[in-house]
Amino acid sequence: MRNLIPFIYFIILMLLPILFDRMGVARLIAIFTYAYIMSIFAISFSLLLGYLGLLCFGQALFFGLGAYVTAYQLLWLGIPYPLALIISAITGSLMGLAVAFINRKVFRGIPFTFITLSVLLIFYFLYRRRELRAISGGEQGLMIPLPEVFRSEMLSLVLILIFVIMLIDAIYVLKRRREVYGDIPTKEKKSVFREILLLCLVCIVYLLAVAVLTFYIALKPGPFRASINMYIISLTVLCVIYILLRKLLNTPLALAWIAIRDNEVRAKTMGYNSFMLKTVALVISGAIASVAGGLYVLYSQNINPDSAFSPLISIQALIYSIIGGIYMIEGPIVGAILVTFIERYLAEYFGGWNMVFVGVMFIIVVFFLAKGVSYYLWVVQNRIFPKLPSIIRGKIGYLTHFKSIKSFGKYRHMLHRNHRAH
Amino acid sequence: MSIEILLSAIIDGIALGFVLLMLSLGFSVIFGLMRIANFAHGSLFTLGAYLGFEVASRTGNIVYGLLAASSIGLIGLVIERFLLKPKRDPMMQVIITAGLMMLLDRLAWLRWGDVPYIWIPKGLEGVVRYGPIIMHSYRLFIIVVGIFISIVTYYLFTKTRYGLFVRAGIDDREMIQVFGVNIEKIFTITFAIGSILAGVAGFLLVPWQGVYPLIGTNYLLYAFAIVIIGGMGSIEGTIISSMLVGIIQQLCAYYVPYLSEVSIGIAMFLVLIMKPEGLLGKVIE
Repeated sequence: MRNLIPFIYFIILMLLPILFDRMGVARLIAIFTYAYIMSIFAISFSLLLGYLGLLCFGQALFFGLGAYVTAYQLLWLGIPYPLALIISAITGSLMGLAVAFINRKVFRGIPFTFITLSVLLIFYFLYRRRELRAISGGEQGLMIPLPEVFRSEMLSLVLILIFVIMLIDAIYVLKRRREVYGDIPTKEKKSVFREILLLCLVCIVYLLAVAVLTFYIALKPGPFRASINMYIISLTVLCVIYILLRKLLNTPLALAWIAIRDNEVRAKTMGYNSFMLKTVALVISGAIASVAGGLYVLYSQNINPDSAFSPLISIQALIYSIIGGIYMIEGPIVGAILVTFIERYLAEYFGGWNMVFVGVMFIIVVFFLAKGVSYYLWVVQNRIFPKLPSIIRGKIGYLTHFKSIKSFGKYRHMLHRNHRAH
Repeated sequence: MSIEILLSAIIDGIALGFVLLMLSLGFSVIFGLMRIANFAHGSLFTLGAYLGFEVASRTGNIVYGLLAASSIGLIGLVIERFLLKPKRDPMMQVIITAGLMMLLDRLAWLRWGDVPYIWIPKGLEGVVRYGPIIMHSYRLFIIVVGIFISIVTYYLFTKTRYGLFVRAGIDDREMIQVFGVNIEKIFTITFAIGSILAGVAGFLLVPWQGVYPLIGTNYLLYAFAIVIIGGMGSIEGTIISSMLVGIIQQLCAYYVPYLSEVSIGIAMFLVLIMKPEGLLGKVIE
């Protein structure tokens, strides 16, 4: 059941554009697309901040690099878009490796922040020069035409892809749970059966939703079709990254990261190679941020140094992550959607004051709601549906990351069980 | 390529170096003593520039402008007492100051808009000729004010009892608390002094480069470069490297314009690769 939750959310979010279109607020589609792209970027940022305690102000480096590498491939080499995205992710991870190498002496705390920032600044200063207009695009930026695939069959392909991924994920988890609970009588076995039923139900709902969406798109040509393609693709990438990362964060690797965050000396004494573990995190985070950059290129169809390498982009990711909550992987997504909504949609009602509102909200969250908005949403969800199966409420496993590893305390057994069940 | 151009480039570089010194000295000392990477420093710079500009352009007197710019110290005091004091955790403070930076920049943008403002004090518009060398009189004025402020600040940090506490605090914060020094008070005073320096530096730059909402963020990037090159928390390192950065920047601006920012980036990169703790710094845990 727990693994079906992103699936259910995916279906809801997939049908959201139809609602927007019916309500006559079609520009919300573009705003949400931007929110998804930025939440991918914020996830990569909060992976470092929440799980390793590394505040990486150079995160925009990976973002900009991914954006520019994707743009070059589309403009000059004519590489198909999905392949270009993968190549830019590889570039981003190589850059993460390089940054880790530069940081080999001081891989913690504020010095890390400074050094990543200064690596970013080198790129920023370089790309901002007018003499490099040929490769940076200058102030107008590079214009990227939308690839042909985006107007046609891309959508159905992507939708089938995510369907297969989700199905494999769900079935895999069911199988694992059978192995773990195989010798436990009655209750858990019954829940396995119930989950298979639920899976079938969700699959049917998904297929219905796809049918509705396809039908609606066929009815409405024009600008709606162009914007919905980008919407579905960024949502899909977000969903795939979310599923993969959630798997990753349930492995012992993530526990080792948390151990390093809480007490590096102790983790080293226990035999963890902290440099290697941090490098792995930086590589993963760089790849994710580059993917976000590659998506951003196609979203705005234009990339210039100030929207790629500016340190303000990193600060944006910081704001999304902090407001949403850095210790849950859902946090940056919630934060990015919330802040983007306030920033872009409410702008016309409040003039420029909406960003001041975001800033005040940021300060309030830092001081009074340190766990982030997503945590309180989770609490509210549990208040409203107190009878959800315990396996959903077992999500407390993520929340133990709030406390230091010393004070896992009463949730420790739940974390363990989650581990085995996953 | 004559010697006159070289000389005036160096003089401009020294003037810029003094402005950068004022900006980055506060940044560096705050970082060394309190372990706060104060991202809001650039915004205080911007606010100082705007406040000084408002007062000076109304009264027409540069002294009032300087006084108004130094009232940024009060804002710094408020930020320190009410926003930074409750959370004495380095990572948290970086996060708070980064949020403040966005907030203050946005407020400045709401009040003054995107248009750059410039105001030149009377009597300092022209150039001074000394033989074949042409010097802008305002940049000479910056050098004079800069030398004065730097000497005062240096005296404050090296000869007074307060400065003794600050330097001792940079070395070992726990130890001077053991000796009975109220470190919270020292923190607050240091933050206020850093803010005053940032505000005055911002105002001094108004007649030269104008003021616009993002100027603080742009110059904060220079301050980062300086702190990285000079070493985090080292007063002497900051002085040397800000002069170095100012002169390199202006020399490149005169001779090879496309390298003026990149050269600083490259210098920073070389320091990072070879000596990550900076020229005169030591590794800060």
